[in-house]
Amino acid sequence: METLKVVWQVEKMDFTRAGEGSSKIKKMLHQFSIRPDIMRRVAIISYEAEVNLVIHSFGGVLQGEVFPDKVVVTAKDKGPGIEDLSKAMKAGFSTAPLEVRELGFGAGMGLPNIKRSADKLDLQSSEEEGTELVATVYLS
Amino acid sequence: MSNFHSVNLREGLCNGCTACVTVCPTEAVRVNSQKAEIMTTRCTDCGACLRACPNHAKTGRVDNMKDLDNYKYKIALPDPAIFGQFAPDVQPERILGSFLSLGFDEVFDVATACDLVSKKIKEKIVKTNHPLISASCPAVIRLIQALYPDLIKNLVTIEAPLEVAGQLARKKAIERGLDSEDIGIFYISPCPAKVTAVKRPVARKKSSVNKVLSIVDLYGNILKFANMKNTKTLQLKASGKGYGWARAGGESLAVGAYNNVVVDGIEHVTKVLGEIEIGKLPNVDYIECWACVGGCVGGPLVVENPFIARVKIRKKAELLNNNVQSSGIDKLDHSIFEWEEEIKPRQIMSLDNNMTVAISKGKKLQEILSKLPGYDCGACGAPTCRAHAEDFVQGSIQSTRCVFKK
Ligand code: SF4
Ligand code: SF4
Repeated sequence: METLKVVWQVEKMDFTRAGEGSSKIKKMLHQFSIRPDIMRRVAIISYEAEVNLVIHSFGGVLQGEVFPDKVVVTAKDKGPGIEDLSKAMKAGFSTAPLEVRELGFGAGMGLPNIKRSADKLDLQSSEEEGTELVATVYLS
Repeated sequence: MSNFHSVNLREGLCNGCTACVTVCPTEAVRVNSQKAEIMTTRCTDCGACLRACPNHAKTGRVDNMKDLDNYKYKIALPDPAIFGQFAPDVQPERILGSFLSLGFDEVFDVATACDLVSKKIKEKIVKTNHPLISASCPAVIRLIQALYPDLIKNLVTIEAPLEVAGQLARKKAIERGLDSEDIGIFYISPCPAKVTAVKRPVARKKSSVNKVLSIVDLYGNILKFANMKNTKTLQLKASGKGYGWARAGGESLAVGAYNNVVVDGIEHVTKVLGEIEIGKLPNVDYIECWACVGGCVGGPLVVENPFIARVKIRKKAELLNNNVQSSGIDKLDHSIFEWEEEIKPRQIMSLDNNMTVAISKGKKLQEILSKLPGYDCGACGAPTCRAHAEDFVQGSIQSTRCVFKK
């Protein structure tokens, strides 16, 4: 099956570029006749996933892939892994350092927002392998 | 002809420099054979290209004074932005009066409609989706339809002052015994976006306004008549806040929005809309977005520098009554304030309606793009390498013509 993909490298703590990968993904979505609410959900997921990579990871890759029936956003990082997954999913829980929160990021809404916007969310994390987030939004 | 737009190219003046190509928020301009071309399906009439053109090759497609001859009774609807265009000693009362000397039978000051609309918006702020986005700049509405379609539901569903003024002016003239056919309503516009709002309204079938003239075209004559002794003066009836709508921030002030954000300049507007889209402004109630720097005082069809015009408007407004003038509003038929039709999204960038076809076109596009250098220099006539590859995939150009191609 043919798919269309955008892949974007995210550097740790590089706030000047935070959001660029997700805007590339959004640009790609504009090439399709996708329902506005779906487009917005993917925009939220990819932005939050990208910001998570910037704040919490040692760097990683953000990817958006369009299938005929769905859009899949993947964020894979090089660690350090999420200590307590169920805690991280709770709204308002954040491990972002104070400097980051002062910038207005890291309010602990990232994962809950992603979860709310995705139809399906897979999250795997370990100290050795890092974290891989796969969020799926169906097109109909 | 739903693709009507009102930015026009004076071919003779265009030298193909591509300055207009890179500023367009919807990538609607290309240069082919040394001349700019506008893709009508994409243009939002924001006027960014008019401003960017060093040769003044782009203009607004407006009507002209000859059109007055087609109507027995002519009403002028001057936009409040007009009051920021003249030197401080040119009195606003004389500016209004000069329209009578120009051949109009009546002047309906749009600022009075700004007062009424302010009151209606205020009611909405209390009870709708937040953040509420102002629907006063037609270029912003069209931008939202094209690039942020999910934000359509955040737009204030109240007609813009220009339309309300047109409706009221016509109604009153009919009540005085005039035949609707004989009435010509002429809006005096600061921009092409409002020309389109009249010729192809988004939220109603037909505008009550018949023709649109530009401030810049009338400027010389208004100045002449305003300075003549025997020109009549007309009293200003709107509040300072009504006139204040002409500048960015004036609308929020008039509607009494407290947790508000004011954004002007189309590139800033696109950024902020993007942030609203991903939920980054959760505590804001009202967002005023203007395509032009400074708001309508900075429209592409005005004369004065926006920063100076803005101060002039502010100073004039400060001399007037500062309470929004909405007495009598309850006696009006409120349908004049409401949108007649829902605003629909416009998918202007889509490669194909069919997902599978669009995906394979997208792959082709990426393949071509990988051979282009990514300088986004505009030398090929497209705003970016990606747009150039897209033109090729969509068949509007037969070969890529990158001067740097490896
Ligand atoms: S800015 Fe655009 S319209 Fe003006 S001369 Fe250059 S290419 Fe032509
Ligand atoms: S800001 Fe005012 S002048 Fe500029 S495009 Fe919008 S409505 Fe027209």
